[in-house]
Amino acid sequence: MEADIEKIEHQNALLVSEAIENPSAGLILLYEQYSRSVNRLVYRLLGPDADHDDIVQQVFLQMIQSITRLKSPERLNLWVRSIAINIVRSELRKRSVRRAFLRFAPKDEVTRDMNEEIESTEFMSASADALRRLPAEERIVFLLYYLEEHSLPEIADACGFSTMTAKRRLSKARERFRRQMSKNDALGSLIDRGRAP
Amino acid sequence: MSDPIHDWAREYSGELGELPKAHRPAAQRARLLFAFRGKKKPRSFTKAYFVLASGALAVAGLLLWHAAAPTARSAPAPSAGVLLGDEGLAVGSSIRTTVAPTTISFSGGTRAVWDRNSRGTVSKLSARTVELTLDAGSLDMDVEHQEGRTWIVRSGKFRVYVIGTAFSVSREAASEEFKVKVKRGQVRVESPDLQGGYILLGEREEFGWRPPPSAPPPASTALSAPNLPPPSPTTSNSQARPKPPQVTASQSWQVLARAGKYEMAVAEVEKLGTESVLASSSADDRLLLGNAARYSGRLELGSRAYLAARELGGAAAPLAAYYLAKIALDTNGDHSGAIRWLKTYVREAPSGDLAPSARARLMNLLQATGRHAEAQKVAREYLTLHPTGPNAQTARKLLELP
Repeated sequence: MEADIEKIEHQNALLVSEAIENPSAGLILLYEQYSRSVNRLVYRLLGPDADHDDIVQQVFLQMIQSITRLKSPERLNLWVRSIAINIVRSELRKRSVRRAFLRFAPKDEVTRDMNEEIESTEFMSASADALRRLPAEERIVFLLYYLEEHSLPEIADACGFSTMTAKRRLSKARERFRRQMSKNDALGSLIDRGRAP
Repeated sequence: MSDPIHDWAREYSGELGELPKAHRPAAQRARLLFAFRGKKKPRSFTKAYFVLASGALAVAGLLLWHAAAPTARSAPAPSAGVLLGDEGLAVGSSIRTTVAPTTISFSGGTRAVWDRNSRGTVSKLSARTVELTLDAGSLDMDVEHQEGRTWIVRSGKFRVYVIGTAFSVSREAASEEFKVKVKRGQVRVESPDLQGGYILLGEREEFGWRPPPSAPPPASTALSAPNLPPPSPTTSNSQARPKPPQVTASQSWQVLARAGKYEMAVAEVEKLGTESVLASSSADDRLLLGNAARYSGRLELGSRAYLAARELGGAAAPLAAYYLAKIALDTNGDHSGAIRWLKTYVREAPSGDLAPSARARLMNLLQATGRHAEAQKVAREYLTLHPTGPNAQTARKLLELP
């Protein structure tokens, strides 16, 4: 087990040095190694989204741009995760600012095709709506905790804030989400189910 | 009592799934590489400040425009004039020109000029992607590169992806004839009808497509035409170079590879037939093809080219061994394969340009796979032959030397 970890760490170190030496080839290697996990994480945090591919692209471009600043190549996996989370966070923040200033901005940038996919059921439509109402920072913490089942210290580490902040944001998000649930029939039934003896 | 949010999360997670339904890794990777090659250096602070100031002015202009003409967005565009693209239009806005062209100016400096008698729509408008659909007529684009923003012009079943360039797209509504002319930069044209799904067009290159004459004239757009016959793409280079018969035939794959256009070089080789290219190439060309394939992520083709280069021997053979080691390591984490090829390189070119790097990699790999005695042997060799090399410290550490 230890040897396996060492092997992976060694492989990561080689991958990082390759990416620094030849960014074009390094980008391909990074994509091959992390494409699935980055796509998965972006999808789980944003849901079906018209900009999914663009955001994933931004994650990889950011990786190759900042790989020289990666101090511990053995933490490559965590670093990649952290970049993906932060890009989704900043995307959500930008969207909320745009929504606030431009009343005619497209709703969460979701195109009609994507809407059809996400709103395939009333439950999914209500969930997407309730998530959209959470502030960006709270939404990320909330989804990492409930959907990705990360612990608070893990969330804090990935997002770059303290565990206390993560805890506070989770608590606020939970409250807001519960309020949304109680307002909506499709989600409210889950609360009723929870109350049942 | 169970936590309803946990119940929600379980249900939502199950419904959502793991990946988007339309996830296409190959297309995503191709777009990523295209975006990477088109990237410019980060803007300086002054330029960023200037861009921010321009953005603020554009937003102010937009608010004034929006307040003054709230209904203009959904109305057909004026017959001539300038619209503020980013904010002045919404997704779904239609554009229809009659006797004069209409220009849409975007805040980053990009301009889209709709020629007379053209029509289309804004099909996507976000911070990252702007997609314009041309239904008929001609659209002249002058795209200023903006970090992270992709421009797409859609026409029938063709999609033209742009990073920073000037080009025009035209489409005859009746005949479906489609044409792209690149004035500056590079574009990528995607269509299910193109071999490999896309082509790349360089500076001053043209691409044209029209349905074969035997096909009956379609009643509606190409997308809705059933059982469409195979396309007949025509390409040309209209200005400086003589007209080539195909998209990239004006430049040999070797020229493209040496210019760093690896994907185009590989596409050209595939067009000519990989086997015949390899059979008629020198060892150096095989090595060049191997490198182009490797840099564009086509590792299998890279391996084939390197192995072919080794068959001819000479100075290219050890280099091919070194690159085969890289592929072995990078694709499958095949440590033993990489070790074998690195040993081959060191044996065939003990004082080659890449010998210090090959020995260092070999030393690290042997150590990582638990072959300490062999690693120490290579470390000793490294210190003897490259005492001041960049990995001398690692070698000393491995030999437990001060």
